[in-house]
Order: sequence, then C-alpha cells, then structure tokens
Amino acid sequence: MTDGADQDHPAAASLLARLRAGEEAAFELMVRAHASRLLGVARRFLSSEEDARDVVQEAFLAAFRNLDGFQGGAQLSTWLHRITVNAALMKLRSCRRRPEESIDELLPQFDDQGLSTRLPREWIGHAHELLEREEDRKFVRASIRKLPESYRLVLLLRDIDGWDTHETARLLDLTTGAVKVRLHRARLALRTLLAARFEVKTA
Amino acid sequence: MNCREYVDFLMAYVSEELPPEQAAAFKQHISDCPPCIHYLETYRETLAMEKLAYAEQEALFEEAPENLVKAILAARGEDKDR
Repeated sequence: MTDGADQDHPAAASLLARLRAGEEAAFELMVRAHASRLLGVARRFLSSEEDARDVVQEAFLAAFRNLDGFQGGAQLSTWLHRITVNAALMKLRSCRRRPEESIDELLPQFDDQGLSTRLPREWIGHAHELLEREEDRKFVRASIRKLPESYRLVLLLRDIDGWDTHETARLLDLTTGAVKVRLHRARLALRTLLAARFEVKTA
Repeated sequence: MNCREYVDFLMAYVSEELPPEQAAAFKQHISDCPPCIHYLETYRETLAMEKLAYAEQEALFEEAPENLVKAILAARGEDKDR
C-alpha cells in the first residue's frame, strides 16, 4: 500500500489501545485523522456525494465493531482503507440496476491480419503539461467514470488505490487472471477516451 | 508479432513482466510498425494521467468536513445504544 506511516507512529499503538478500551475520545481522534482521506476513496467509487459520506460513516462503524479483527501487524490506515472499499463495493452492488455496457467499442480495432485498422497518433503533450488545469483533470475523472463498472473498479483499485493484483482479486471476488485482463482492457479503453481530447489532429 | 499481439503485450511490457524473448519481439514490432510506438507512449501517458487526475483533487481535502465528523460520532452513539 502507498499510504500511512502508522507503524512508525508511536501514537498509533496507543490510539489502538484506547480504541479497544472503548474510549470515546479515541474514536473521535480516529475519525478526524482518517475521514478526509477515506472520503476521497469513497468519492472515487461513488458519484453521489451522499453515498460517499454514507460509506465513510458505515466504514467507521464497521471498523469500531470489528476492532478485534484488526491485526497489529497491519497499518490502521490500510485496514480502514480496505473496510471503506468494501463498504463502497457493497453500496455499488445494492444500487446496480441495468446490465453493463460492452467495453469492446473502446478497445483498439484490428483487421483479419491483426493490423491496426486505425493507427494511433501521438498526443499533444505529456500528462503533467496536459493536466495543469482542473478542467482537464476533471475530464480524466469523468472518462474513468464512463468505463463499464467491472472495468472501472479494477482500474481504481489497482492504479489509483494501489492494491496489488492479489488484493484486488480478493476484494472483487475475481481470479487474479481476470483482474489482469480487466485492468489491461480498462486502461486501453481509457486511452481511447483520453485520445479524443489529447491526440494530435490530422490536417 | 502483429499489432494485435503487440497491444496484448503492452501491460506486461510496461510493468516489465515480459519474458526476454517476447520483449525482443515487442521491440522489433515497433521498428517494423512505427505508428505502434504511439500506443506505448500514450498508454504510459494514460497511466500518468490517472494518477494526476486524483492526486490534485485529494490535496484539496486535508481536513475532515466537520458535518461528516459530527454525523459519524452521532451514528456511533446510536450504534452503541442498539
């Protein structure tokens, strides 16, 4: 995982002890220390702000109920992160309605010989130049939201949240092979969506 | 290697998981088919953009929204009484 320095933090161990002792002030400390980051996580998964806040609330309550399940070796921030992702996935499952759209039309196309039918072109700049403006970063986030959900979730968990293939497979109840295939397709599809804005135009 | 196979190998190539023989065939394809270099370059830009798109957003929320903290603490109270 990318985040958290709990292990090196002497305060974290004593916070845990106080949490286990049922101290109210310790619960508030935990909430204040982690709520903002976890809200960021929940927002990536859920487009509604209300749902994202619900998920963070559910995650803290679940964490508190299951403090005994917290292994000392793990980091508190990582453990809370995982609980939040699980809560977000559960929320998504509960409001899933229609069957998912196909990702095929966003993938590169080839002819019978396996040659590209539409040659890729270069982009007008590099990521850090092209995403200087919030408007462009918003476009990227909106493009990710356009991916079919089963692909979007893998991309968020692997590329943004930083879980490895194995953890992602566990969270989504998939095989590691399926995670790899979906991640590859999700990135290719996102590349197609981003190319529409960032590719050099032909004369 | 044709373009389809080349694209199939992009992820493994970028994460340096491609066995040497396939990595060599991958590189050979780029010299045979120059436009395919743009797949590789823009695949990498896509990965960089994913991260930048969220990193900047997160920097905006350093402190927990007070109303969310209050709501969680209130819900904790109710949860305990149940």
